[in-house]
Amino acid sequence: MTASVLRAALAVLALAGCRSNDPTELIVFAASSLGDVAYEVAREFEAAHPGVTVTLRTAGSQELRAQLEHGAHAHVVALADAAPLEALFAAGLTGAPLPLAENELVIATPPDDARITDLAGLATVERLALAATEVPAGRHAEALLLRAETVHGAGFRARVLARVVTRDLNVRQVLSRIRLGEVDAGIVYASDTIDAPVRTVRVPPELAERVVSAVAIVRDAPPLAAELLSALRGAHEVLRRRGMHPAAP
Amino acid sequence: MNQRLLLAVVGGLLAVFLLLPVLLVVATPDWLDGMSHPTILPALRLSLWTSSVALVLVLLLGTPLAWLLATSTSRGARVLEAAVQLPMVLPPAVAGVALLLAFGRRGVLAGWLFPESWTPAFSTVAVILAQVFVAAPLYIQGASSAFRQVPAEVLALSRVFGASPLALLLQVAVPIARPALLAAAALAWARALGEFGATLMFAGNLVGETQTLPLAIYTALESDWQAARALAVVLIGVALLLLLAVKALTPRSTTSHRSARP
Repeated sequence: MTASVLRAALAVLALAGCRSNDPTELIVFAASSLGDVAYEVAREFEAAHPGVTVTLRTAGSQELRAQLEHGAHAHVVALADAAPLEALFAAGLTGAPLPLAENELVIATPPDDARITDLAGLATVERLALAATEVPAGRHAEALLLRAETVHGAGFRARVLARVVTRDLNVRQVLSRIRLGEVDAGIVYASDTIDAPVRTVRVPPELAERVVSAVAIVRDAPPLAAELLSALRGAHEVLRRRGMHPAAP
Repeated sequence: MNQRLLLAVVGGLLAVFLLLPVLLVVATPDWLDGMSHPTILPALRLSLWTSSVALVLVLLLGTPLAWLLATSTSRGARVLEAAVQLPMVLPPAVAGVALLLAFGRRGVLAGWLFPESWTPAFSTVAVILAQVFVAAPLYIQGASSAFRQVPAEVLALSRVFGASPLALLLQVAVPIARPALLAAAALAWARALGEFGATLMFAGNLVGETQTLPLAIYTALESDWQAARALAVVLIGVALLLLLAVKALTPRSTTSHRSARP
């Protein structure tokens, strides 16, 4: 008797609070580079779970992290780099991050410009665009250039950086400068070049900078969020089609 | 008296709305820790000198244009006057792309305006061009309406006494319109100082070369909130000094000068 009253009261409370805890709506924060993947998986998930809507918000990983830290409401978070998710986990805002997929950095050039054929080519052209060191793509690019010094000699990184005319805050902006032909090349995520009209040059595997994207469940998310997270991690075919290598389960 | 109170309440509401966000940026003192951020000094230096050069260009080129637009009666001048305001209403990123299409490496002027393969894009010159592009329309608008306030009789009399067209502009019209010209110049300078979107697109974002204060704020927001706040405080401080300086230079009563006219 008391148990059923209590259950009814809880149900009423749950209804009252349903504005954002509605179990039929799941909110996903996805990094820009994972937006397409998250979109496809979300539509499949909705088809498999009638009555469930998945709302997607995409932005830069740092921006999404800042929004979550300032109280933004979400259930599942997928970021381009594990570091900001580790920070959210450490702050108690999400569960432990799980690896999603591996992305790699490649060189992109305008489609009609075939001068660059390898990493060393970066030090021969006039103008380069890189991501800023304030964002993961920029830090990974600098790490790649530093590692390349083992092959192309000390000072390679400095020779390349001397040709950099802009440090952009996201890979899409770097790509737009390449598409406009205003820079000769840039270093971007392979996944971002899939739909872009640019020519890409891969980095030798022993030098490649691999970036692992990660997903996590936001604290207090409904159980359905865990299912969506599994669906994201299991979407191997979608991830591959978008230029990423799914992480081992 | 009560009506004056009502006006004060209504006007005060807007003043609070305009000032509160700006004050809050300055009032929470955690930006003090961000003041040592290494991009602040180069960004401040770059912003000050590029916006100053942009202002000089706007004044030198904009004053004759505004004068011609204000004194011409042709329909072409009306159309031109409206058309040169366009950069002001373009979304900033569009302005940046437009500048690239004109002056970029693959832009239409690339071939014949510049020596072999040189282009202003991604250089400090691009920063200044972007600032002139967005700030000049503001000055032209202010200056041409200022010149229209110059009494026609004064101009006619000056001509009778043999003033050349240049003397008419520099020795008669400019001194009379000076307060309004200064105000227009201040607005243009403030706009150049705050220029962001066109600069990002056309000049890029590189510390010491093209990263002005607004771009430095945008970049710092990604990683260092306090530094972004510190940069914002610096920008607000510079803009405030600038606006106060113009107020000090401007005679107290632009209105009495106008109302004193017969």
